[in-house]
Amino acid sequence: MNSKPPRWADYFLKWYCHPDAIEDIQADLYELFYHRLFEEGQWSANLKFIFEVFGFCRWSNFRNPLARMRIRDLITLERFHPLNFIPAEHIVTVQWNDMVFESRNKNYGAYPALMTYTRNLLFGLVFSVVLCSSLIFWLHAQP
Amino acid sequence: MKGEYLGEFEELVLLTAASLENDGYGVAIMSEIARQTGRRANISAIHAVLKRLEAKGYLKSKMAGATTERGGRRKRYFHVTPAGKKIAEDTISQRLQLYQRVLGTGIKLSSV
Repeated sequence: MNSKPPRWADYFLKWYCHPDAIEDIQADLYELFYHRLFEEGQWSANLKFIFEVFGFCRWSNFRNPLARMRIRDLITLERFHPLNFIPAEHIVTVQWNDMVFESRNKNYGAYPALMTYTRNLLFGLVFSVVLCSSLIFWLHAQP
Repeated sequence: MKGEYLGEFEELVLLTAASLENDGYGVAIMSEIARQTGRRANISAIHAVLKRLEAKGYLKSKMAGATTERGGRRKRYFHVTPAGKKIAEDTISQRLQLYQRVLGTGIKLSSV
């Protein structure tokens, strides 16, 4: 049988779905589609395929929108970003981490620590400066 | 301890994955649930629960078995980990204890 699922729905799935999850999600949808095509007909199979593509629109299945950008785009974005204190090297590092950890577990371990390193460093710096300034002001205010 | 419990649907999916042994993947688990319980679950809900159970450490998955029906794509097979077996045993024994307590109160069990 040459029938295929609605192409736009398939593209939409590929567009929003995380690359780690796309293979088994798409394969399960295809298997159900061909099963329904045989059992219930084209119209019903198409409708249920579309319904299920939207059913997979969950936060955990979405891909990171920044990951699809090229490094050059990210550096340009960083240059015009109001929070441009984050150096371009960091963004390149983020891309590098994605490449290094592509086939490894990203849920725990070094990956989250590396991804949040710059943010944590900035938080730590700001917190220390505020704490020390407060302490100095308080000591000066003592009679 | 936080996280060491199973929701009703999680329990159903975990037991179905365990009953399919090493042949449990998304569509097979969905069909088996429909066959055993008559419950028509959504494939996206099954995937979400499988992912959650894997994150909790009760299931492990591996990719294998590409077929033409699936456009040459592989299946993600799930199997139950020792932690998954333990939580299933704990849940079943808790349920059995409760059922034994209600049996004298007029509630009857249908044939198993």
